[in-house]
Formats: sequence, C-alpha cells, structure tokens
Amino acid sequence: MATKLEITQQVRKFIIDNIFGGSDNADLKDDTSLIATRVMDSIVALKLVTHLETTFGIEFEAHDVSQENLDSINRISEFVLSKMK
Amino acid sequence: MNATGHEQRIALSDTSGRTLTHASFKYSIDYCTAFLRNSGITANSRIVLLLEKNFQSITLIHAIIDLSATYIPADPNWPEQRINSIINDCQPHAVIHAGGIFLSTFPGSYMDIPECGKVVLSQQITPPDSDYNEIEDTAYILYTSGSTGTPKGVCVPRSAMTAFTTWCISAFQINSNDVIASVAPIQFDLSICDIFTSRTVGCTLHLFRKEDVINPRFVVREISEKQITFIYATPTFLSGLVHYGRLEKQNHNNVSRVLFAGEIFAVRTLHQLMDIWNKAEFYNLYGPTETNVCTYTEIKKDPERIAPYPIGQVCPGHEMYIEADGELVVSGPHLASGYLNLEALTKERFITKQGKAWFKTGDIVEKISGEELNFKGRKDRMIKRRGYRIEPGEIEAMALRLKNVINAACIATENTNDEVLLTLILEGVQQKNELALRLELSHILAESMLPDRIITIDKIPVTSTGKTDYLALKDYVKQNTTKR
Repeated sequence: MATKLEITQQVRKFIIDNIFGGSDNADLKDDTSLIATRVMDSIVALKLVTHLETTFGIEFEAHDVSQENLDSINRISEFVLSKMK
Repeated sequence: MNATGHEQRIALSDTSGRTLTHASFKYSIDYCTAFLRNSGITANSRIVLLLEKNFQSITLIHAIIDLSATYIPADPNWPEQRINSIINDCQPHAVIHAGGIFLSTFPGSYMDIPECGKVVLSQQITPPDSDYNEIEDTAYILYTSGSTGTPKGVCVPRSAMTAFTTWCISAFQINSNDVIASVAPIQFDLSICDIFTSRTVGCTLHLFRKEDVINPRFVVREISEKQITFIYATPTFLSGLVHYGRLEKQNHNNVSRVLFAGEIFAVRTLHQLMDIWNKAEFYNLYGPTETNVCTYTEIKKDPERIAPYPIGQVCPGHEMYIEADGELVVSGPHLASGYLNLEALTKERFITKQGKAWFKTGDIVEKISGEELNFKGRKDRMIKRRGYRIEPGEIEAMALRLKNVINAACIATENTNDEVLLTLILEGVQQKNELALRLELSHILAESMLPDRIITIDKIPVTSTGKTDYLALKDYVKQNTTKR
C-alpha cells in the first residue's frame, strides 16, 4: 500500500505536468489552495480524479468530487489514503 | 389530463430534491410581479439579476418578462469590477441579489418569494440619467466578451424571444410531459430555450447549479433518477459525461432529445455519446448570442465521418448569404436588436439590406449540398473555449492592468484531445510567481476566461508593422508546453 509521501509525490507530479506545463514551481506548497485560488479548474480536477482512480485503484463517488477533498496536495493525499483503507 | 391535475404536476425541481408545482410556480410569479409593480417597476424597466440559477431567479425572470420589463443576468461570482462595469453600462432601475456581500453596495428590501426563498430588491442605486436611451421592447440583455476589455450587452427584443421559444417548441416537439435539464447558466443564451419553453408548454424544468454541472458523475446519476427527457448543453458538458461520468453505468432510455451548441463537437466523442444514448435524437444548433440560434440540423450518426458535422440550414423564417470572404450573414426573427450603448459597433455588425436587419456573424462558412452549411472558422480572433465565447483581446486588456506588465498576448492552441487551451504571455513581469499572477487575474477576469497557462517573456515579438506577432507566439507556446 502506498505511503502518504508516495501519494503526495504522485499528486504533485500530476499538477506540475497538467497545470504548470512540466516546470516545477517552488511556490506550490503541499497546502497551497488549488481550486479556491483558481489554480486548478473543474476540468483539470476531473482529470485528476480519473488519474487518482487509475493510479491508486480507488473509486470516487459523485459526492467525493468536491472542493473539500481536492483543494490542496495535502487534502488530496489524505483523501486517497482514506479511500485505500 | 384536466386542469386541476396539471396544476399539481411539477414545474420546477432542483438537485437538492426541492420541487414546485405549476400552481405554486404561478402563485410565486404573481407574487413577484405584484411586488415589483408596487415598487415602481414598469414596462421597459431594467433589472439586473445578480443571482445564481435557482427557484428565485427563474421566478423573477418570468415576472420581469410578464411586466414587459428587461432582465440583465449577472453572475454573482464574477469579479466586482466586471459586475460594476455592467451596472454602469446598463444603468438599471433595480438590482436583485441574494444578500450577503452585496448588501452593503446594494441595500434594499427583502422579497420573500413563496416556496422559493428570499432575495433583496435594491433600488438604492444611482437612478438612470434622464437622457439615458430607453431600450424599448427588450426582453433581456446578455453580456458577452468584448475585445477591448469591456463586456458588451446584446439586447434581445421580446419578439425575438417569443419567436425563438415558439420555434424550439415546434422543432423539438417540446410538450408538457418533458423533463428539461436546465444546465446552462442564466447569463448564457442556451438558457432561454429551457426557461421559456418549459413555462409555455407546462413541463418540468430541473435546475442544475454551477457545482452540479462540473460533476459529471452526479449529472449522469441525476439524468437517470429524475428521468430527464431533454438536454441542451455545450459539447464540453456532454463530453464531460462521456469521459468522466461513467455513462455506461446508468440506463438513460428516458433521454429523447439532445441539443448542443456553442462550439465544435469532436466527432469521436459525439459518436460515443450517440452509441450510449441510442434512443435519442441529436441536434447541432448554431448561432452567436446576437442571433441566439440561426441554423440547425439533426445529426444522424455516420460512422465514417471524421470532420465535424455541419451546422445545417437556417431556421424557419430566416435568410442568409455568404460574403466573398466566406462570412455568414443572417436575417430573421431570432435576431437581437443591437449592442447597448455601442452605436458604431451595432451599425457595423447589424446592417440593413433590402429593408431588413442582418447580422454579420464573423463566422466563416461554406455551403455543402443544397442549403446546408459547414462551419470553417472565425474571421477575427474570437475563440470558443468550453463553449464560452472569449475575445483574447479582453484577457490581454485585463492583463495589462496587472502590476509591471508592459505587454500581453493571449494565444489559443489545441491539445490532442481537441481541447482549446489559452496561454497568456506577459512581458515586463520579472519571474513573477505564476500562482500569484493567476490569483491576481482571478480578481478581474471571469472564471471562464482565466488562461490555462501564464508564461513570462523578455520581449513579445512584433511583426514588421509593429503589431504583436501572434504566429511566432503560437509556435513559441507549442514548443514550450508539454502535453496536457
């Protein structure tokens, strides 16, 4: 089972690749707000959900796709962990 | 079904399970017309609706139309700057909002709409100048992206709204047994069909909020649970259901008509949707906000097809011609009357010929067999992204307001999934944090117009005539971004 660090790294990589065109950004912290600050929009959020499901073998219910669960790298990782239990 | 029976059927429903019968809906609309009339609202009064789509806003829209007044929808989530520019432009007699942060700018009295909810009617705004152009017979004004940075208001006459509603009902056989999914926001002309046909035929309008619309799995479940029969949405929305909505898990035999408009529908994805919703009729509708819908066609699946489907023939009662450069010009009952306070632009785009009013769409088309048309592209820089109309010039104008920005250019590219991406290139900003720039921009640009990437550059290249070299920039963007 993946550790929180592994999950965090995977999530970070996805965001770097899909939002920042591949170039890492030192200002992107694990607790940086993503949706609330419009860094990640609804389409990218959906792609992220699909990516997480495929990568970690979890399943998002309709109500799981929310700002609460997806708003920072930390929150996303915690959510993925909770789904893997 | 007798009259009493019909009155108890559902007129409005929402995704939290609330419902409103036709009897209650009528009562609430009457409440609103009485309240507004008593507050001094008359025919041709302009009312800005700073509201989300809900029972209150739908009821108010009908009340305003019943009073022969004009509604102007504005998204409460838009940047303050944009909302203010719209209010300054249309000089409304009243602003109706949901309270909260708007109470201080727009104080007023509460309207407690029966079975719908509270709103605030604010008339504490600077009354229109006495010499302000009265816009006669306008049903609504929809603001669209303006290339110079200021949104422009498209004025639609009541006759056009009625003609369009009547056409929809006839063309798509909308009837009292339908359950229409209301997906488009009320600032968008796709909503006109949903809102007005449902009331005219007395069917059910099921409201999807902004939060619901961006959650395809939820939408897919709701379409099944609420037995939706009719959907009119953008290809982006429908593609979302295909790619992220797990459509295969639901039975959607209830969906009988699917209409799409606003952008090109990638054929691969459209075919996937048609295979899953194989009991439904599919229609491609075309028309800028200035014409609502002016051409359309039913789409029958052609498995060999690779290029996008045609935009069809002109709607009944409409005429068209094609300029030498391929630009489509249309005339007919669905047309808007012009742009608010923009006489020169209105004269330029809405021309008179043979005693009729025509609109120069700016879209390049070609004739295929008979009177059928294919969409080829734009004459200018305007683009559609996720179904939203965007003038890159508006994004550039807003970007120039950011600190230290000397020059800005907005480039549209397409990724391998046929998705339009916007890259904003800024000159003058020293290595500024992209996150911080995005945040700053989100305060002055509507969410639908925020670029996907922001890149800083030492100097924006210019052509020999001193204009921004967009072609060179497009290459630069393609080279500098990895696949999305």
